[in-house]
Amino acid sequence: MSLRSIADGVVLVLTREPAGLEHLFDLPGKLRPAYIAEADLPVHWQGYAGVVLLVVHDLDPGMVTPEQREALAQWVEQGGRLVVSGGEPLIRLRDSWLAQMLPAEPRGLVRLDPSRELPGVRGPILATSLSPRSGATMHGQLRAQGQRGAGAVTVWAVDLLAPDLRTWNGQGALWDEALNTPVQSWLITRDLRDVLPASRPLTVAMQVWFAVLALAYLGVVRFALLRARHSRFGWVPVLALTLLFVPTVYRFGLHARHVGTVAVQMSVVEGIAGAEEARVRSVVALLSPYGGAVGFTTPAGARVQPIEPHALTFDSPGAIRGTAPPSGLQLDVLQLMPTPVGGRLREGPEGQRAEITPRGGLRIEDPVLVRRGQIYHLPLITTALSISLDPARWEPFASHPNPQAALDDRLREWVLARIASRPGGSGASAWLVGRINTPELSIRSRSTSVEVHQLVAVPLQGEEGRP
Amino acid sequence: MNAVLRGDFRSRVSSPKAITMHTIFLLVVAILTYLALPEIGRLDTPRQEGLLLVCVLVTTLLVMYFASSCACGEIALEGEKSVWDLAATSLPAGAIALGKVLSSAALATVQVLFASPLLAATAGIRGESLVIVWQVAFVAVPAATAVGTAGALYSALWDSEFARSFVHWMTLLAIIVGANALPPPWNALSPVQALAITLKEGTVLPALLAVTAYLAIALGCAFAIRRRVDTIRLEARAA
Repeated sequence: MSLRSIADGVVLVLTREPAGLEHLFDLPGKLRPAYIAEADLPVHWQGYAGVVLLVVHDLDPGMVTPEQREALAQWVEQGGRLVVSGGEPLIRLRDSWLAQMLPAEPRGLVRLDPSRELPGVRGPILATSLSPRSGATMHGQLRAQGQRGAGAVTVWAVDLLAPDLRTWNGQGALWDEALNTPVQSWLITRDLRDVLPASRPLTVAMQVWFAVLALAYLGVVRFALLRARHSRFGWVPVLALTLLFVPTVYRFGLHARHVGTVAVQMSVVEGIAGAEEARVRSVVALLSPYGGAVGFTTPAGARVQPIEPHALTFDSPGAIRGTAPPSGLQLDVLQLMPTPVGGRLREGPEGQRAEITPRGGLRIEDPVLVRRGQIYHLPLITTALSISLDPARWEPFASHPNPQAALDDRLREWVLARIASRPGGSGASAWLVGRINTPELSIRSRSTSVEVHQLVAVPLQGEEGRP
Repeated sequence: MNAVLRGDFRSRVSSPKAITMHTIFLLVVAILTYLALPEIGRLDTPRQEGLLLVCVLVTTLLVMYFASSCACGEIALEGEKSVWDLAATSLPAGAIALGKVLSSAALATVQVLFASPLLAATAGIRGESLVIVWQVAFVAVPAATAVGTAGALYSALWDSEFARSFVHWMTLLAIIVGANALPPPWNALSPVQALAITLKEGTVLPALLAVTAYLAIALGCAFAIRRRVDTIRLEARAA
């Protein structure tokens, strides 16, 4: 049973005392709190699937392994919501790895009157003095909020799970707000599956070969039957020839199946604004006649799920096998990688300039800048590029009424349409989109050829370094 | 070897008209297999199952048609002796009846064998084993034997070609379409259902009911042929 079927989401609470989030049950939707200790923290970011909020109350930073730290940071950077409760427990986090993630630095303990920000709570109560970091937003004295990648980190000055605050009437609204803290929405969603091809006809060569083989068989049988009339046991060679053709044609059928079976992988590397990592979403369609056995190895660190519920065997996190249904098998693969390209749009006296810096020898083909429904074609990018943008060369983007035949073009158009349809203010104003070929992102299969189509889509930083 | 079987088999395999018949049969099955080559990818399950069923069903129906048509004289093959001709010989009535059953079974077996490379191509492309050929033969041969023996009986019962053809086609329709319209589980008596169940289950066991019924029809017709041969001989002696 999947987590989604039993709850809309889980709120993880890292605390010694498993209590304090009873008000979650008052909120709309099926949200369930899960009280955990440090050892229960996931060691891979994929382990946070279904978690809508992580609340840190009591944490001994020394008890968290480097893998758990990395997983937590990666989850937040991908759009996770983290709330760190204040008071005495927050002081213990000073100078820890977690403190580096917070939008405000805890300085010390003070006694504050919380009645203005927490109406109904009688004070004074013990609170942590918060010193906001660059880019953080202070909501009064008690709350600091900041973005980390696509995610949001909130730190409270007061201990939200303290016994005297648990019965406070405003708890429900407080958690509701925490759950709805704005985070960056993903450009590339599972809808990417719409770009996958649904079918692929048998190749012309295979069709011709079948016709030739069938006609040859017909001719041979007819010839043997005509000869059979002249001898008493003439039908014996006819049957022998037939039996000889059975394995031959059967092997042809198996070969045609092998040649015709292909896994089509569509991958989009989506840069995360303000983070050094990019999320790679891949959808894979196994185009095979009538399904059959499949086996794939995914890139290291990738999370794989069948798009439609289907039983698969995971021999290791990256090695999957199973039997594809006759209707085909589609997989959704998520992974993280270092941002492969950085970019910036600058306004200068001579006009607008784009500065693109590919990393690791990345080659970006057919690159375009996308901004407010307009596209700007750039030259092939193999090294750092700094180009002055001619305002007259921006073209309006319009989707083709019919899907493009070439999968590369279809994928590119789908991504451009997604960017063009994003409402203003939902992330970066300009994007760089281009075709790439990064073998490390490809799934591998011993039984099937894999056809890979890859695209990179990174938000460009503005003048002040923010999207 | 049964003399009727030997004579009929030679005629049904190697006479010029029989060779044309087999060529047409193979050509139809080959064209059908070619047209049913999958558009590789995501067809919905019923359509994919349907492709295979259409292939094996048409093969089976053709085998049934040729077996019954040859036996009832609708396709007159050179050298093939009708029940009337055989009644005039000294062969025992039982041997004649048995020979007609065996010759229908032999023709059906040969035609399934001829079609087996084309069925094997379909099996290979589907990634299935060659068991599919055995599954088709398990249903097609008894069904063709039944209608073939019935055809031989009709040739002995009616002189009129129209009457023979009419009853022959009615029999085919009754077994293929009529039985298919019966309520379950009796609709499995139709080769259409028997093949569909066999392919779906991957085993021939569900078709046992249908196969038993076909063999019973063949034996019943053989018994009737024997009686008819005796009657013909008695009438001939009396005349």
